[in-house]
Amino acid sequence: MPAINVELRNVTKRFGDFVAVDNVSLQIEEGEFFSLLGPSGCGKTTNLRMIAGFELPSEGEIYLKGQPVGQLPPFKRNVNTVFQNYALFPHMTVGENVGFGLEMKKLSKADIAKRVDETLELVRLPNLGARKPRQLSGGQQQRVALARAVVNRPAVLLLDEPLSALDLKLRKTMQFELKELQRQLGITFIFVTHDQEEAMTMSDRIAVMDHGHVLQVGAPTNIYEQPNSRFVADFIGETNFLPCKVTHRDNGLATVVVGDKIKMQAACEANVSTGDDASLIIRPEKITISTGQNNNENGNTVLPGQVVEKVYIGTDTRFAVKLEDGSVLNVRHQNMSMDDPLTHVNNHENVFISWQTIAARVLTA
Amino acid sequence: MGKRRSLYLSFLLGPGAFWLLMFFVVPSLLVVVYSFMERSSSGGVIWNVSLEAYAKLFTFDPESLFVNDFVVIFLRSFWWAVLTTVACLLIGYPLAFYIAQQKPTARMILLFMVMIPFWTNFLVRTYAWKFILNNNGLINTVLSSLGMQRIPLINTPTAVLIGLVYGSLPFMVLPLYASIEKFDYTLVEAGQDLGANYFRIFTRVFLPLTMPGVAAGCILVFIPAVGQYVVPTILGGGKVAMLGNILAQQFGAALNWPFGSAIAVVFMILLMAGVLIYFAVEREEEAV
Amino acid sequence: MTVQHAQEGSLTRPTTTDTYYPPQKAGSLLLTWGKRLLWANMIFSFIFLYAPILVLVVFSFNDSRFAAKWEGFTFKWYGELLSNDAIISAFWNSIVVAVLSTIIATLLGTMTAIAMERFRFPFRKTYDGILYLPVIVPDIVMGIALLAFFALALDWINTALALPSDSALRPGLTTVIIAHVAFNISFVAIVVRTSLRDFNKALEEAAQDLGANEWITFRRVTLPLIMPGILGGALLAFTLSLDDFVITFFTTGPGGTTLPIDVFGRIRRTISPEINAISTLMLMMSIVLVIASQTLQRRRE
Repeated sequence: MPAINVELRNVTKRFGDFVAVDNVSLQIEEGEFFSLLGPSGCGKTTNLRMIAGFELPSEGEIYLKGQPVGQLPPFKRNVNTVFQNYALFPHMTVGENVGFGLEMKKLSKADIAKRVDETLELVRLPNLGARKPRQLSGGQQQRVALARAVVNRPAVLLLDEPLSALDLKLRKTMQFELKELQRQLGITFIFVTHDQEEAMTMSDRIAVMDHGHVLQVGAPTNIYEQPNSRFVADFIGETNFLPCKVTHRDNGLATVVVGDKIKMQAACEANVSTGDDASLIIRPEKITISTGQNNNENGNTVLPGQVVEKVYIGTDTRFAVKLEDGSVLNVRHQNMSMDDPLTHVNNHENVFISWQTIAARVLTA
Repeated sequence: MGKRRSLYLSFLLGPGAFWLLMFFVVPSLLVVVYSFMERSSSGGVIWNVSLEAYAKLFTFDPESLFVNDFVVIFLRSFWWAVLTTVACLLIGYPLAFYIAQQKPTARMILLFMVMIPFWTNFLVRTYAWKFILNNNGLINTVLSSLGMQRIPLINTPTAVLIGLVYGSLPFMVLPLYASIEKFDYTLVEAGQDLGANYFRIFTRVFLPLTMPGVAAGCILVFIPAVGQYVVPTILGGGKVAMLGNILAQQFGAALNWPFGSAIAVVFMILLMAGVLIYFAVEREEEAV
Repeated sequence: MTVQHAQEGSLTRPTTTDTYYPPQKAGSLLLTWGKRLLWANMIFSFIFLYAPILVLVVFSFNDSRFAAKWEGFTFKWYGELLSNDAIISAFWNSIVVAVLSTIIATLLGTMTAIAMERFRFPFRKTYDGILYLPVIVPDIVMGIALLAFFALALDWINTALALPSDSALRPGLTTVIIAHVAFNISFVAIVVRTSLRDFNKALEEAAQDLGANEWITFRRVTLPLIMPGILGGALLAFTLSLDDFVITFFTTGPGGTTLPIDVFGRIRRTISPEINAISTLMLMMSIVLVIASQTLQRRRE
């Protein structure tokens, strides 16, 4: 098992009466790309700022390579930050910006110059050292901010929504580059974002936060496929929710009744018990839609329904299908061929939908 | 907050606070104390508590239309300050509006032209009017060379008012411009879209949103105007005195420091009351 | 409701069936006249602001003892100014007062501004109010207060030190400088606080994040970035000090005659081509200062 690099142990941060971070414990491993994901105001940035030292925890302790650092000022922590709007020093050149941390460590001028050049090379900005930040494009400024932080070879690199100011296309490129840089350097990255897609594509593990709590920590597949709460399921990707009642459960499977009518089986979270009012979740892309009842294999759940809405969105067609009990499910159907009979399905036509039984999950309501 | 931090704070705050306390707060309080003392005919005060100074200010004088001459001067100073403020607003608001509507270059040049008088020595600008209005000044010289009668212009209320407006105008225009420039013109379109005519857009949208600039400009004009000394001295020649003149007189030739102090105290109380009422009314309007 | 926008620069609107608009002609007539009035007001304002100053400048070159009667062009009044010892010494006094009071006020005002913007302490709100007072209180009131204060304070010192009347401390340049600092601290503090407030605090965090302690952060990041604000404050203080007449008038004494004090004495008596010449020079000085302040402001942006 890899060493623990950063650990938060029962950390709470209060601003007056407001609890920004509520009793959070996290372990982040050496060399990991770790994301803090959540909506604005969920406490992810406060968490990051406590690791950086800009905020001191009200309770709990933060460990960096096993050493408690919770009460240390930022300049005494071997941690560097890439700020949301880069926070490049406007009165210094790019080279001076990047060399600032090394200068603080009292390295010789020659060493500083050498490492600044190397690092600018690394972020693919060679020969720009003499420019002022304002003469650079947004993407270039982003790279300078990155260079300024990694040049110090910190134990952890903290990134506070560093891509949010870039346009979509540049953001995609930078996501890839960041990931690549992290692989090359082997430094632990802690990445704060509210963009679930960004978190999914880049992270080894994700912590989903809401209202100061960490709801779930896990690899992207784990978070997406096995969300442990309604919030996580809803925040990450698109999900259908069906209110249901649990009538029976054994092992990982539960039998539920949806809308007093439809009985089905689904995978089940450990904290759900018989008799509970619960939520059944099923992702739209996991549902197969067909005009005939030909998916009746073992291990599949098959239900009849009626198309109430159909939207063509290029790669997919999105159907809204009304079930017998009146609840509506969103279904994504990939547009493989124009010969597909579903291309010609109209509203109010009857269809069948089906999914692998364990693709649906039962969560506490 | 650590001990080091509070040490740092006192290092930063200490010297400035000492200076302000010693050379602003203490002198101001001294004026209040002096106003309750007995007059010393050689300047300064005799350290006996007395209400003489305030009595003199509020004694009825049968010769005068109002209570006494000092009250007349009080009223005149405030009235002229009001006139000055209104005149500056009437000239300054359209001017600031016009400047804000120009293209960037023109705007910069016009603004710069307002700034120059703003930074120019007040004495010089007041003297410029004396040069024009004096008995042997520009207007009268031109008149007499045309064979016409000279007219008395200097040392009249008109001369003082011209001087007051002239001196204050830039102080009105600059804050007005700042708030008009910030105005979001899509609001005008929104207003038109909702069917409001120009007059209504101006009174219901534009004016309320530029009110902070109006308030700032009025205060910057009104307060210095009430306490003017230079303008009434140079353009009024002491014949149309304002508060500044009697204050200077009591601390100067008249050597009645308690009375001068009492005038200053009453003056400051009225001024503060005026400003407070102004803000109270403003806040109430905002609440509506 | 139908959404209709007037085209930019024109008042003709697309007609709609369901929305009432006032008749076009009345509206555009109103606007045309409004624009003309605005323009006329602008022209009037600038004539009002500049004509008196221009007249002054022109007549400073007038070759006549009678100030307002044009007799021809001359530089002689400027020559006379330069050989007038009283004016030259008043000018240097003004410079000494302005330079010293600006240096002290800029230092103290900047320190005060940092304390007010970066620290929380008891009575901060109260002090905030006191800090604004010297800007608001009419200068004549501050002038007489300082007059009373210096009279009393110097009297006490002279008595305490038992100084004979010929070597007793009197009001003079020192008291003027003290007084100028007292009002300029507030002006500097206000200007510097604005630039501290506009300052992106993430820059300070970034410096600390890179290993700079509070002092280095201040010296290397905060100070260089608020420098235009500090210089702007200093320039304002310098101008206010150079231009101040009223407070100087009440706090000065023998040997403490500044240029405005000297000029006031002359203006009060009469109008003359010499005064026009001094005024013109003071005007030039102001213009140089405005240009300097504008350049600074442009650099700040």
